Amino acid sequence: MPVLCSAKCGNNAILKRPKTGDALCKECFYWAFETEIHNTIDNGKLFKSGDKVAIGASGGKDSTVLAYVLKLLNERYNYGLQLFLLSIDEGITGYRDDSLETVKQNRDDYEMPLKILSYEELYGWTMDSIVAQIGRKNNCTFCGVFRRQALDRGAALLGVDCIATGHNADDIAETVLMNVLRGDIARLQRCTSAITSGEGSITRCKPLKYTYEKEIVMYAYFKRLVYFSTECVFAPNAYRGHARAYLKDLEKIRPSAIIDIIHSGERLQAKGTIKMPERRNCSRCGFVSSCEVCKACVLLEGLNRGMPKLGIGKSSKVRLQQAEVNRLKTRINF
Amino acid sequence: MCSVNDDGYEDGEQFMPKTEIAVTEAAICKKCANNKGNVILRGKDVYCKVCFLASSTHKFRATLGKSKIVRPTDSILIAHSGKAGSTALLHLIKAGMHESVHKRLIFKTTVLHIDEGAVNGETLEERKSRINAICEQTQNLEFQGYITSLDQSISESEPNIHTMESLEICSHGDKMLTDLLNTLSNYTTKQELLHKLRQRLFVLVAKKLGCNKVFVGDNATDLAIRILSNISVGRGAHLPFDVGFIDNRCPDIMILRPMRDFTRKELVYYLNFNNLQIIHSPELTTKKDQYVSIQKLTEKFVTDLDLNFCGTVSTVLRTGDKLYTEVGNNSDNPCILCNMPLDTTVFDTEISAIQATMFSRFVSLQGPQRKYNTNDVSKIKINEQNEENRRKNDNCCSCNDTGCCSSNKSVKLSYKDVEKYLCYGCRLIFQDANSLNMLPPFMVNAVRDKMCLENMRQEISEFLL
Repeated sequence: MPVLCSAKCGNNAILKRPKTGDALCKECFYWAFETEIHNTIDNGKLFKSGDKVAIGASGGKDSTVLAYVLKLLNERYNYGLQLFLLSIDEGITGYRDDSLETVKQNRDDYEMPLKILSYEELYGWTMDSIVAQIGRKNNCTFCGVFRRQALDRGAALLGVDCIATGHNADDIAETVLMNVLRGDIARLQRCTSAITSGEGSITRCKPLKYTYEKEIVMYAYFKRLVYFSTECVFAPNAYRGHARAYLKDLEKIRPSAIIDIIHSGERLQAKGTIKMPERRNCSRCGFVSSCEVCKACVLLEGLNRGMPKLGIGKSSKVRLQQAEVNRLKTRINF
Repeated sequence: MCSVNDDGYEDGEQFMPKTEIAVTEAAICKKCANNKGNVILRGKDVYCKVCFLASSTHKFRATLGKSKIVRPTDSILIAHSGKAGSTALLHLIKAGMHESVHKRLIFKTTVLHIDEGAVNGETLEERKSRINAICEQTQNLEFQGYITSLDQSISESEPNIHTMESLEICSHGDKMLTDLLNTLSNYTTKQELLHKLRQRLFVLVAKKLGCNKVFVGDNATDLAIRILSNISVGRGAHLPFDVGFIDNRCPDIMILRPMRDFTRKELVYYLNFNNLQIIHSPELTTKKDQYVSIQKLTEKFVTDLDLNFCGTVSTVLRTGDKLYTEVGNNSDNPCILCNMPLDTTVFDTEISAIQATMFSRFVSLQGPQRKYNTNDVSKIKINEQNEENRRKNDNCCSCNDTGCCSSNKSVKLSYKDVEKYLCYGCRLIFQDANSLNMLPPFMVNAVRDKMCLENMRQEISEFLL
């Protein structure tokens, strides 16, 4: 027997929402999905009228749906936003070159200007060449650190006010768990906020913060949105993978667990006595950093000097290593 | 986009190296550098039996001492389940009370065992033999012991307690307890409710026996598991109370966790070296697979992870120590089940998970036809407010008449009323209980009292300054 849509529109429902368990028809689901994102944007005050917004686009499902929905809501509710697509080309053959094709498709479909920045032009290294030098261990550290800064640089080039990223509820919940496992109290405090801004750094926001990954897939599926879904060829089986698997299992037991974890994360407070890292600007490149020299600069120097281990692992160990190298050098000079 | 390291971790630490355990047969104790090692801790440190036991005692004393909260004049209720943590706890306290010990422990102690046999479907014989074993253990260590059963936590009246020697089992409340648990549809909520009832009973018994502090045997591994599972069931706001050394949510009775620095492994070694036996009792999820409840899944997750990455337990525990709960404005209106400040306030100025979920429910029942453009959320609130007022008028009919509030049993309650007085985590326990008859009587009464107080407050609100 067909189930009726719980919005009482008279149509038969075609899906059950993972988030609330309600059965909805296609049209009512679209409306609910979009209106919820509007609610997050509106109540969270993510944008101001006239803002230029860059959407971090990878060609994956999250950023594709984000671009589609932002364009739609911008027109429906007159946000007055000017939207851009911003992509980072890490230089990973067989992964990024294919996904960039999807982004270009998005550019044409949604009529948004697209800016692609590559690691090669920013840093002189592609991920392929980095992996060739350092192997498959720790390569994601390079990629992650470089990407974060590359987005900042791209935003500066485009002159935008804000970067919107496709982080969904699952991602946020996973980050909460991850930060507990790592003991990272500072990030634990700020990882649940939908909008982050600081001096010297560009504002970042997450309009899909309360949207379940499953619903994003549903939306993309029924709307027939094209997206790219291949794992990165270098994706590691790392510590984060455990947190992801745990979260998926939790969701199986109780679907609301994802939003429950976000609730927990929002209400966690650090003791006043805990020392928090300060934000400042890198003395070399001028971008945001928590240290004198930012991680991207340290990693890059390691690569260029042929010491890629520099900046990976504990800084005290690296200092020892460096001292050793300097000692040897002076000895050779004698 | 690849989400690895999206959060800008600036070190390689998110890819922790697996701990390799490689210790040769003839390893020497790290501490005394003399004896042959007996145990390996943290996957690398070797200790001999003597040094291990000395460090265990030291660790216990340090945990108690550094808080400066336990006083010689204290009367302490020791919760003893028969499991590893509380068995070692009793033994450590006994050793600490010995005349020869420097800075001897001199507080007054009483042991309490809570009989939960009914929950786990044990026969009366099995329960009797377990209680017998616990009694023997307690007497051997020369403690005075009492027994009560978990159903005593549900009722409004003072709990019944018996001395251990009487070996009495009160089984007349069993049905009420099992009925209550059977109304809950899954093991996650059952385990949650059991835990809350247990905590409540500790406090009730402590009050009755005139104790001002309670010691519980929670160990580091248990607490790391509880941190993660509490976050997963929406109890993040109350973590410091649920896992910290001191739990002082009840102003006159503190619950302390003196075993919180011992891992499960250390406890097993400690018991082994001292020839102490633990008394096995099945738990609700024993012999069930890991997907039966969030707690069980988390236990598997944490223990597996700790096996491969030593230090997981202690990292998680230290993270918990750095958290803080504000017991400010809401302290006069705590959750009626867990007694913590309510974390369910929705602020107009910011978005929150609660608001987003409320909104999701709301839009799922509306269709695009009924055009709600903006201010949808304020509408939800208004709707709720209206409903609430309407119900109040319907139900608490005549508060102006004398006697209504004092004989408040007649007030009709709905689950919506109860929900208002529950914190986020406790709401989830009862989310699928739709009948009020199923709720523990103490909760229903608490709601009645609170509603009446609120009504009275409204009556006189014009004159309050």
